[in-house]
Amino acid sequence: MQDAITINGLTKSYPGTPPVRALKGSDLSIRDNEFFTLLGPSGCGKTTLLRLIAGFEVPTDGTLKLFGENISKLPPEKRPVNTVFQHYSLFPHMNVLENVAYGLLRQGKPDARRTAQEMLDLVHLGEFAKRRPSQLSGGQQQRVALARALAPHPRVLLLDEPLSALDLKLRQSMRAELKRLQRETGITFVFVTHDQEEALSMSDRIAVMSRGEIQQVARPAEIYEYPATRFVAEFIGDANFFEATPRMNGDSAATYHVSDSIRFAGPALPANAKGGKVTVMFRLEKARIAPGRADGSLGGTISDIEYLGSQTEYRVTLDDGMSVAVRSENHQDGTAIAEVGSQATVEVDPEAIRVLVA
Amino acid sequence: MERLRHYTGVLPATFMIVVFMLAPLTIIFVYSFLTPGDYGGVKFEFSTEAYTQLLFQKNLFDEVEFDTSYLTIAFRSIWVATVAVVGSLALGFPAAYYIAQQPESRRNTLLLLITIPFWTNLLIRTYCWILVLRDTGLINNLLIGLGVTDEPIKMLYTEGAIALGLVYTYVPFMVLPIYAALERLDKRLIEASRDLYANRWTTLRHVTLPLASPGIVAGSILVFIPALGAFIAPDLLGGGKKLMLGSLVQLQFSAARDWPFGSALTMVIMSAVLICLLLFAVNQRRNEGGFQH
Ligand SMILES: Nc1ncnc2c1ncn2[C@@H]1O[C@H](COP(=O)(O)OP(=O)(O)OP(=O)(O)O)[C@@H](O)[C@H]1O
Ligand SMILES: [Mg+2]
Repeated sequence: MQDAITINGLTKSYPGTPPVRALKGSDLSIRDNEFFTLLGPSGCGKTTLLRLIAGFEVPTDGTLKLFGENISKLPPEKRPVNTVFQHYSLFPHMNVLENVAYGLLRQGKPDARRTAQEMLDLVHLGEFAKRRPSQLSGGQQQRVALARALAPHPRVLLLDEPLSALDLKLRQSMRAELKRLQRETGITFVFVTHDQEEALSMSDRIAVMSRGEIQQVARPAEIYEYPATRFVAEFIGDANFFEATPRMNGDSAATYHVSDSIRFAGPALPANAKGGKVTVMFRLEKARIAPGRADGSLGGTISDIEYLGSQTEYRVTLDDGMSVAVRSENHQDGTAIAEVGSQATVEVDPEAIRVLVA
Repeated sequence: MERLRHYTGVLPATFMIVVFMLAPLTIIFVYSFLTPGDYGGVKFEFSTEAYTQLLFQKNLFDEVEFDTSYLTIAFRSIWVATVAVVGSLALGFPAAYYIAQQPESRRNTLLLLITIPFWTNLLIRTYCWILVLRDTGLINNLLIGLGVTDEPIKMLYTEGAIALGLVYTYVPFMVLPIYAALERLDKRLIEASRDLYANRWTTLRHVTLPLASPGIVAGSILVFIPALGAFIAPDLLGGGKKLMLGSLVQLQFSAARDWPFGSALTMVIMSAVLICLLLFAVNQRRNEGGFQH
């Protein structure tokens, strides 16, 4: 199947001294019918990429294709792409129905009124058709914005942090609603967020961005379990990181020496490793902690205990001063396995160790 | 204490309104019901003559007859003022739109340029238009020089010249409120419109214009009212042959020496304008309180 969006070496610099390089030669393919998420910290270029796709910005370099057709030069109104804006940007001088019908009317579609009403019903706002946007709550305005962008049935829908202005409860119910709409309409969604939970729970695939560069594109589980770079590993979830020198044990395994007393058995060194030191990491909940000391494992003193509800986080200061964090499920009544100051042993399976070369 | 502060707070405004508006208005109102003095001024004798004079005239035989000459003047003035509003809008909207599109630093300079004509006396500026428009003026010389026409085109002393003068005088009053409305306009709405398949023009028509309409209305009122009472442009560019309301009023206080009639005219024009504005405001409110932002 043809990809919905293909970008090659897409670059955007905003004028300034020095120029702001918001997007630095990115390559990316977004599949048809996919819920695709752009995830990254503030200022990493998510909105810039979205605005380039929508046509509000002109790329400095590179190509942008929509279903195989180069659209880099098309104005926004010629692109079969609609946007749900972060601040909704509903037309204040039109009622809700007129807002939703706007795109259909400009396209000269017959039955604009009926389609718009159907769209409103789809987002459960059927009876609000005659209201002005200012007479709606934030969550309702958000759904109008969604209906307005979906009504012309674009081939791609762009959503720029559409949930960020909503409260937690509303945000969670809107997540499910967005997923449902995406499935029901079969439209490709490109969703921007800096909320990792949102990204992990909703997306078919995620692109993690940092400083104008795309770091990794993968399914949510893969992003979490096999982060491609240290940035991805740090931005999504929590992990322990160590600088280590690898020693190969045959073809499929290696030992990673962090210090004289700390070493991890793990997978073989990735093929693209350059030699010298690498970074090894493991997620907090992949390690186990037990009271007391045992030979051949990581031993140390518990320096901090944090109760997190379903889990408890332990911080252990290892014998040579490094520190490692472990999270374990609270099964019975949530009492910690040991107290601050007592001895503990941390165990990590080789399968939980990841080796990062970037 | 709070109350006292409240009252001292509104004192300057109250003072302004009483001294600069209510007092002169009261004088005009009183004068309009008095008898004209022999050499201007008024005699303190009650009379409604000034008002009946508006529509009725005594003929040679001392019979009272319906007379439309002042009505004609009124309609001519309304017509010319309307043309001035339309002209100012046609010039002022694109100007305001252009300024609002410029980068912020540039906008203030351009706005300053718009107000520059105010720095020179209106009389002198209007005289300059005579030099431009008259038979041996700039435009006609140019047209004849280029061979477009053999004989000068009559431009000066026409209603068109009056309208031109009025547009020239009052167009800044149109530009400024429209600019204010456009500048306030959320630029993201323009992007939303473009995103929804509207090109530049349809966006202008369906989003920009409706959202700028409070500015357009304010500008139109600001141009219409002074244009209705203007007398410099009608006198100088219209040659004073076709009277306008402004000139008519001015005449009563100068050559005609009929202050009560001048006052009555003023009262009637003002009331008419006020009633129109009120009707407009009520209508506006009925249409869902205008535009909400
Ligand atoms: N119009 C502009 N002119 C100059 N620089 C800009 C402009 N728009 C964005 N930038 C810069 O480009 C970079 C990327 O901005 P962008 O808005 O794409 O970030 P973002 O990932 O959407 O961030 P956020 O999560 O805060 O919305 C930032 O450093 C920003 O300051
Ligand atoms: Mg953004």
